Amino acid sequence: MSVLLAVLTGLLVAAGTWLVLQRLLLHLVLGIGLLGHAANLLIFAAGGVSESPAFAPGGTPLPGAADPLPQALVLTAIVIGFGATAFLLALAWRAFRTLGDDDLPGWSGSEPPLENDHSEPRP
Amino acid sequence: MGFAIAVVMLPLLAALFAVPSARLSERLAIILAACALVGSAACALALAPAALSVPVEVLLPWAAPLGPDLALRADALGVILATLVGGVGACVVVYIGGYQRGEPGLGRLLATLLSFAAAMQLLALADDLWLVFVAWELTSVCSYLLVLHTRTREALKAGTTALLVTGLGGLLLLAGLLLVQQATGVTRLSELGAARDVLLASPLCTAALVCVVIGCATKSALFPFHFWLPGAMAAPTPVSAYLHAATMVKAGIFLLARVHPGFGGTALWEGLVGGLGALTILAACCRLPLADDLKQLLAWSTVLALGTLAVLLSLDSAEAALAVVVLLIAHAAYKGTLFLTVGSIDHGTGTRSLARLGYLRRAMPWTALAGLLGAGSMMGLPPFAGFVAKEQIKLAGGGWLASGSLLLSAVALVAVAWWVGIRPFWRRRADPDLHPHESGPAIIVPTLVLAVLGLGLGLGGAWLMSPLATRAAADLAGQAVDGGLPTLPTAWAKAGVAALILALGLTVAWQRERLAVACGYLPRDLCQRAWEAGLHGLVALGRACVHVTQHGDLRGYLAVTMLVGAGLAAPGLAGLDWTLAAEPVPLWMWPLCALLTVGAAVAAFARTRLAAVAGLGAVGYGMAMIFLALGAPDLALTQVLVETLVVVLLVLAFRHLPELRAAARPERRRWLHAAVAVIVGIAATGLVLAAQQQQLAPNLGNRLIAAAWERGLGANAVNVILVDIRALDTFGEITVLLLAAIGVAALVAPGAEPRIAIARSPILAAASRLILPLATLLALFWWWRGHHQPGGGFAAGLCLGAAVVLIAAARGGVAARRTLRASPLAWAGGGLALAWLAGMIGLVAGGGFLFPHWLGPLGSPMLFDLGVFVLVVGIVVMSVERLLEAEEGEA
Amino acid sequence: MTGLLVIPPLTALVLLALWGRPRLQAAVSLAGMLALLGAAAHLLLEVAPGGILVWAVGGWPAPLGIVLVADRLAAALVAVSTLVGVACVLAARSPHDDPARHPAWHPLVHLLMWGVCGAFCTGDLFNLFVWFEVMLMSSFTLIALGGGRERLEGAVKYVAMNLVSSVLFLCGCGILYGVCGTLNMADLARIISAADTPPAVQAAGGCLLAAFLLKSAAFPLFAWLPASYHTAAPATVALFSALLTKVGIYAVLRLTVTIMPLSGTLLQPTLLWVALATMAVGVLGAATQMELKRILSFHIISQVGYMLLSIAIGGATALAAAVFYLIHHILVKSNLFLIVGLAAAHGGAEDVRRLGGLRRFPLLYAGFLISAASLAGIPPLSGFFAKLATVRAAAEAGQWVAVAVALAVGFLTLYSMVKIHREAFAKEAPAAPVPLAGAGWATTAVLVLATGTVLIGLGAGPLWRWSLAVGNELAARTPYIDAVLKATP
Repeated sequence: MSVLLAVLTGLLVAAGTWLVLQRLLLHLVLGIGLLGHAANLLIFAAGGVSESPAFAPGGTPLPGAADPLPQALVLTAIVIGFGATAFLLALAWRAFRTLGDDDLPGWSGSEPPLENDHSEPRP
Repeated sequence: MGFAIAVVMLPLLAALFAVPSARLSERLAIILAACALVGSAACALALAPAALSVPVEVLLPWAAPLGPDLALRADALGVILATLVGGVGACVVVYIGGYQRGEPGLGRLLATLLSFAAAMQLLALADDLWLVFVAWELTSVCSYLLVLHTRTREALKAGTTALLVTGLGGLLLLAGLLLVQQATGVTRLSELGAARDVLLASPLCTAALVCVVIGCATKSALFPFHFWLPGAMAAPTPVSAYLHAATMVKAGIFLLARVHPGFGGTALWEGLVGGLGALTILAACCRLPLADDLKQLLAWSTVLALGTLAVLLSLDSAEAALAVVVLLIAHAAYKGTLFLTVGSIDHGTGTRSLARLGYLRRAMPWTALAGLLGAGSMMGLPPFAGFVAKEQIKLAGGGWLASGSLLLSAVALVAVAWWVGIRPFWRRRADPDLHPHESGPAIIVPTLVLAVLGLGLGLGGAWLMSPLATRAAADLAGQAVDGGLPTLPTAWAKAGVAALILALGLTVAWQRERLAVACGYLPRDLCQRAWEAGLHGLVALGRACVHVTQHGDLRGYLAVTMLVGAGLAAPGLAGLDWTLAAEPVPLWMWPLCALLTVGAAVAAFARTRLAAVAGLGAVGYGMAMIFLALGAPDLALTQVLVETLVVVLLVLAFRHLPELRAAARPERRRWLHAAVAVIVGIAATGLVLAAQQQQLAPNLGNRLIAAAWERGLGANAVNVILVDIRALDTFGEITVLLLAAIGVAALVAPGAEPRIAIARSPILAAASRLILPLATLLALFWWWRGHHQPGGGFAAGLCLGAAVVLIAAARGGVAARRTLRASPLAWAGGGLALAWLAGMIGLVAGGGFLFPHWLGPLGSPMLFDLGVFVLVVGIVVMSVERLLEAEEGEA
Repeated sequence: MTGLLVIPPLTALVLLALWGRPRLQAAVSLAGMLALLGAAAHLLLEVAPGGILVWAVGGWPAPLGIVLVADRLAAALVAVSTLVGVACVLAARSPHDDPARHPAWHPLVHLLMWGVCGAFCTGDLFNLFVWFEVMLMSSFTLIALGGGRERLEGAVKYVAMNLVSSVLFLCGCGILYGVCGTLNMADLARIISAADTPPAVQAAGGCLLAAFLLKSAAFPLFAWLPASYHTAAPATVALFSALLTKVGIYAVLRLTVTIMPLSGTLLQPTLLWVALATMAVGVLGAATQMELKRILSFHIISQVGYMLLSIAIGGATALAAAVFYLIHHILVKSNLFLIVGLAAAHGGAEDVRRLGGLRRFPLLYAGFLISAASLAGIPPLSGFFAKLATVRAAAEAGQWVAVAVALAVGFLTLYSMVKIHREAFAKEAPAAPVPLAGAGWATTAVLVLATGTVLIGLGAGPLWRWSLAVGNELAARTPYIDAVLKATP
């Protein structure tokens, strides 16, 4: 079971990485989303798996209770990921509106120019 | 002790007052500066008696053991240099008063000059290794600022070159000092002689010697760094007189003299220093006949003199040491005189061209006298100081290379003296356009003072100079020196050599045009061009680096990031047990795996936006179900809600982005992307396996569940962790949500017209009205019971938020706003405020910020959770509403 | 430490409520930042003589709950950061800083400062992640404020790379918890040193190191910086340059010194070469650029290399050098960005070839001379001592290649500063520079920071001895571990 989770994590990471290396802005957003999911699964899987939830009804923990800490971490990460996704979408929207182009390899306007110091200064 | 400090402090204090006093009156500023410098020289001389026996030492703690302490030691050599700096400086300052009269920026010039003088004095007296470096760099910086004074293009370029060359030298010097310090452990220059054996035996010795020598070579314009000095002539002439003749360029030689007790006498020293000196002399001689500008002539002759000093320093005899000291003094006097003379010529005629100048003795008699005196000293005629120097040099000895180069240097000096000090005044032809007039007393007097000093030091001052100079030479050479300086030719043979030099020199001087033609065939400016090529090469290297690292393609950057992450993690995965043990996997797990895999694949390879989003959603839902099955109900709940909202957001945002399409040019590197993805994926799998296979310590699970019940008063450990045990994490996390909300608000401008609705369906509109109160109840229920059952503030907020989103979709953003009764950003802010207040309860009631306090079933963690609830509603509605109403772009 | 946690969110909320009232916002912002500076100074005074302050938030003992730990390093960094925060808020009042007039700027800045303070003071690894996210999320919006083609391009790259590094951070955290069963830094340190760094821990450490190196803008993960920093407004980029990369370096330090010591592992020479490459590539890139902010952006990278070099060398002296350098660099870098912001505003251009004659503004000129000389390592300013400390630590460790590279990089730094001085200040401009109304605020900020630089230089002796004590404490590790684990019952 835990091995299966490890393989699934690897799969999600691979898919996310593949997406992030594609040309379009859309792919970038989806890829980061997938990578976030992968990270969550990784934390969850690394923390150890068990089938009972981390409850202590009436004060006695359930037998075989899961570790609540990775769950809390993953929950925090999910929520932060949601915020990040919302922001990233807003940024993508604004960037596409301003640049008119969603092909990422072509975005080199903000990179350092490579003129020599005798060429004309940029306005 | 006070004298030693005064030597440095007087010019420094005067520098502070230079600009204000210049505003009041130029004359006042000049007088102040001159007095400070004279005072500094006087204090230095006052230290002379002590220098002959036990030098005065001063120690003011500053930055040891890291860096310099203010350790000053006024030994003979230092006193000599300090007197020179003060004395010549005073003359130059008075000269400036006449030379720069009427030109703006006098105060600034004086301030910089005085700062330079202070730094130079510090260098003269410094004993601590790092303090030497401090003074060294300060003199370089002040020199740069002084050269830039005239602001012409040549001045800017020359100043930059000078600073960069001497800066490079400074860094090499630092390396050398570091090596010395590591090798011997000494931090005082004066202790270097005693540590000589340790130093020479250390493996770092060679590197230290080379670094120190090259560092000094850059400052003293030795080959191959000599090219900056003629360029620095762009500075005003009195500045050139001070810096580039008398003082700053001597700094390198001075330091070489100081380290001579440690390094001198070794074969490497002799070869390196002597070789550089000889090459310098040669290089200077090749350029001298070509110079037409008097200042350039003087600059090249300074280079020549510095080469001579270097050759002398390379020799290991006591006589050579004495020659160095005497030449140092004599050169300062006569070179200063000649520079000031040239300045006077420039001032009086408006030109410095050798070809044009002539017959000036009629119009400028005093200047002519100064020129005569300076030239006489430079030629080495008795009874000038230069003669004393030359005689001493002859005693120095040395191999054929040293002697030959010294001879060449002496001959060349005669020639230059003729060209600069005699020819412009006594030549019978002159350019008829010249209308020379004598310069004012402010210019003449200092010039004559220096000239007479050159004469006086030779005449009667020889015995004044003798004890101090002898002592300095003894310190330098590490051996006793025969007292007494030659005042008259002691043997007819020496007179013969002197006459020969004079004759050769004059012949050279009179054959100037022919020599110029001959030297014109030689390659020129090689070192300068090599330096510039070096700098251009560095910039080109930089361009290549930037081209490679900043190629602009984000995908490349991200690929590198992921590969570095995988690469750094890889060594830890080496001993992993990769045999994926066949554990029993429950049946329900397989459909979930399939869902995740298919979802990921669809997201990765989809052809339409909708399919891709659906794939991502499938992955999210699949994960939620895994969470549910593996004992994480809170997680599953939150994941389902978040995933739904993310899908909604993605759909709303992707409306505006273009449809997915195959690239215009087929992607040639697909296999590379796949390889990277596979590598990183395998690394991730390995990481999880590693974590599962190695356990160093038991995890906190049981302790947390127990603590959650006992102190946190909650059965749902996850929720207790979130709002109580690790509430600070949650506090930060909701702030992240708030920040996202602000970001969305700032980036996505609301549309011009608020849309009415995106889904025109009366059924949906009605349903949304019904759903709202139900959702509110559900949300509150989840919030309330979260402490003991699955639920909590996040789920509650997402639930209510989803309901409001439904209203926005069905009835438009206006209706959503009305439902909320305030802007979503206000809800978000309010949520954070509630959480903050919950924390403050702890601060007020005791225990500190976020300390939990309970009153029956109510507690500050619940207030905190309420804050979370409110904030989540705010961010959800904010992001959906804005993306819903965002203006239609050029999609 | 309570003040550090409580004041910024309060200020940010008040500022949010004042959305649309810029004057009031500016005043409240300054007040809030000064209050934060006061809290930081109070913390520093408490901790400076020695000793480590530990606060278990909510009364939950480590390793169950989160502990905040203020040792001298953290307290000093917080104090210097808040000083820079005050300076930037002051500078934002000047009219030439357009994006700073957006109503969201001030709340975002305060939340950024909050994240920075939290990151420096936390003793829990996941808490560090949360503070990083707070910092990053506010910086995402700050860098994109104002829009524009270049800015948005740079922002997307910045955001994407930092989100990926957050993923790496999460992975490292998760693995580390799975192996060691705790997230508390001191507890992790105890467990790891007891077990002699097993491979899984090394793997997790590698992930974390990659994440922190990206945040610090180290080679080869620095590409986001030259693509985005120069597009931001002067006060914004001054804040970023001073804080964001330094938090990354601080995280590297905590990871490689406190939690899992480097010495003896393969990571040490790796980090050393990474540091050298960072120094070299940064300064070579700066030599090619002609626009003020771009030059300085590359210099950030180069200076980061110096600090990573000290960390890689390890040992008390080198760590002391790193601490000294951190403090020096925070002040000087932010000051330089404020200065070039003013320079560009006066001269009307970013390209140095179009500027000139700026020496006519004496206060600005003085500030520039001090800061540029300090960066180039000219004595007796703070930069000289910082570089000397680094180079001496390298020499004592026998790393002469590092010494050579450090000095060569110092030469090229001088080259850059001379280039700016000559073009922007010394030479005459084609058009006379315009005096700005209201530039007084920014100039005051510049002078405040410049004074700090000078004071560090003059007081280098005591400050070095203090840094050495901090370095010893860091290298020994046990004071930190004991303080955290024993302070909590």
